Amino acid sequence: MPHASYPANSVIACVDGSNQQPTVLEAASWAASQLVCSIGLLHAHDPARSGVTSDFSGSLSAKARESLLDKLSKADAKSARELTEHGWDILESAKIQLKSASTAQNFTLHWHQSLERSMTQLQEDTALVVLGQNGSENSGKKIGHQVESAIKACSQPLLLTTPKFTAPKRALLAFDNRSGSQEALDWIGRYPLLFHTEIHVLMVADPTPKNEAKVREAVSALKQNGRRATGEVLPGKVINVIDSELSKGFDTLIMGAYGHSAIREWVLGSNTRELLQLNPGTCLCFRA
Amino acid sequence: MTSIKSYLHNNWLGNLRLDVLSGLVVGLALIPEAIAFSIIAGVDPKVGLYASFCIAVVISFLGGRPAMISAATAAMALIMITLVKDHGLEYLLAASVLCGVIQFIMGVFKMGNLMRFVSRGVVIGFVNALAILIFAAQLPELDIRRLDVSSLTIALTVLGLGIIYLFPRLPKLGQLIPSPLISIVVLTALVLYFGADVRQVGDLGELPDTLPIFLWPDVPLNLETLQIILPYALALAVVGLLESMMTATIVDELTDTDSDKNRECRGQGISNIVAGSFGGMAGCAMIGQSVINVKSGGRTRLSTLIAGVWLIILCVALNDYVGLIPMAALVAIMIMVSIGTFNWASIRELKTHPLSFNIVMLSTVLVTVITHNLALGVFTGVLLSAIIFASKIARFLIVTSSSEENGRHRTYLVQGQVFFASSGAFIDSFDVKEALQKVVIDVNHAHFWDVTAIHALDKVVSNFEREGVLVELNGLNKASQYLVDRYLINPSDSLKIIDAD
Repeated sequence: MPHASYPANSVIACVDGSNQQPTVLEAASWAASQLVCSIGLLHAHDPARSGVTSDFSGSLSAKARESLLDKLSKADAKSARELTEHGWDILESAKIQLKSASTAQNFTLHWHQSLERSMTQLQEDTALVVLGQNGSENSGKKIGHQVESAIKACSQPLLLTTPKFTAPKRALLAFDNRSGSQEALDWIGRYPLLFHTEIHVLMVADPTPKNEAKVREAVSALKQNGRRATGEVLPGKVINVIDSELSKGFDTLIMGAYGHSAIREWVLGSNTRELLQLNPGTCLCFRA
Repeated sequence: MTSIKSYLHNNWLGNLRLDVLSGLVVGLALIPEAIAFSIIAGVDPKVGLYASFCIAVVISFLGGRPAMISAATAAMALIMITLVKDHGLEYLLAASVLCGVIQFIMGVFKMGNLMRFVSRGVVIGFVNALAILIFAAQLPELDIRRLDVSSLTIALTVLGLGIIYLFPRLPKLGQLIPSPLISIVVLTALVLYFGADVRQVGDLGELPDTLPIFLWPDVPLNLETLQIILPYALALAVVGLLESMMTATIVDELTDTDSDKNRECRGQGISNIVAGSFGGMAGCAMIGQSVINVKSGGRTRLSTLIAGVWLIILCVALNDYVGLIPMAALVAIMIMVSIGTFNWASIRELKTHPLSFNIVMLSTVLVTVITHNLALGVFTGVLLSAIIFASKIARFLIVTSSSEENGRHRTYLVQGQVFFASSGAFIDSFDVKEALQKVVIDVNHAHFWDVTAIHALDKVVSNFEREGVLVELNGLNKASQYLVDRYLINPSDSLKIIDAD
């Protein structure tokens, strides 16, 4: 069953009331002002996940079982209702925060389902999704437990924020000539999000003439669209090279995310996960 | 007195000259057809001729559609083939009586009204399939590989067809005498003159030399007999009524008058009981002959009576000559009947009619031709039309929604028909994953037709309630409320509240 539709070309900010919410809203406001569009505040929670999942029905008589099930479903409904109330509080506070930072139109999406599932149900014409990368403050994880699955489920470009957000000035585009980074190139050229950002196209590979030609091609494509761009090919291990490059004053990382098959990822590990664990600042991900 | 007078005038004598004339024409034309249909069914020609006489006479008094001609028909004959082959004539007569009983009961229970469930696509499919089956039944008579079929038979058939189609073009005379009769006379004369060795009607069985006499079918009255004849009797009853009702509708249209369909059902029943007990096979109304009768000016019951009586007088009088008619002449007449029965316009209209119509029509034809069972074909057609109709109506369901209170409340407006075919779409139009405080479902402009629809409503409501959403149901009408109370074992709380109006 489809959700009600929302304005096309919107920026969707995922809010959960955590300490990341202010930067997510800040990033969304910036993106909406660059793209000149409305902001949707998305709050998704899955009552089935947070509710009581124990099965008490056991070996009861039919009548007792029915009344117990009835009680349990009433309890489920009550906890769902509380979650809903809590969700509306989060959305209300987000709206207030947003009003002080942005003049963009906003709307709310409040769904009873996992973030992962919500990502698959966003409209095709959604411009950008903004999501806090880190886990909640007490988990101390660098990648939130719902974040990876959300990135994989999302077919729109995804802006991952860390607790410090500034409007991107210098961005590093990790270019590997796979469809994800090709998609990134096209998107950056087409949308004005990074119009004022200096983009450095980096390919981690042996500097053969072929690879250099590809990077040159990428740079000239960006330049044709009026973006400021440079490029280079550096040999080495992807994660190490990008780590050392990032320290040279880049505030944003652009990459294709989870380009490998699930099996390969399971055997060899994922570059995307390793890069996110570097905590590179703002990260713009594209799914192939 | 005046009522008897007006009854006689309206039903019998009001159109005397034309009724007598058209009755004579039709009675003449019935003879070759009755013989040919007997041959299709595999019985002696007298079975068909006696049947035609009995049915025409009885129905002229008891039928509901004056001026309609009923007699032995191809549609009925086609159903009997296997019964006659496997069990013989007596079982056919018993089946005819039972068919009449069933038809009479159907008439008493006003099953004539069921005719409205037979769509035009089914009717056209029925007549096309009938035409194809009649034609196919003639092919063995023209199979050159058979010992008793020579190229002469085929030549005679072609000549017969030529006379049938060209004779009516002659000025004056062409319209006066039915051309099939001319064809029979000419072919018989030729065969006699040249002494040609071809199959003749006399080779096929006994011809009537007296009036039919009452003779109860000689079958054991036990369950085994019933098991044998019941399926045939049912198929005969259904097909007979179907063709009679269709013909009645056509005559209604031609004469711009009304008919009593249920009386016609009872009349068909009694006439088949009579036919069966006088040694005749079951029959029904004939589309072709009824049209000829009306076009020749027949309007009252008298025309049908005259046709039946004239038929038997001719048969008894011309007894010696009927046996001399070559089979080729009858084959030519049957081919004419099949060509005339087939609705040729329906082929041209395949392009312009909607796909659903064509599907119904072609399925009726296909199933009938494959199974050789007109009843099964009609059943398929009616079933398909019902399914197509249900799926069309299912599209008349629109669910719109609007958000209120900053997105915390949502009102769903349901318009249209919710029933088994649309309940899936109904459930899918609700977004139960949206975190709301309250949802209003407005069903003022919707109707819940059946148990499936009520269960779908219950499912939507309980899904919302499980998510902690308060549900308000607006405008559930009394009929739907009754279904809720009666068929939902444990309805959601919101469904228990009866709306104020």
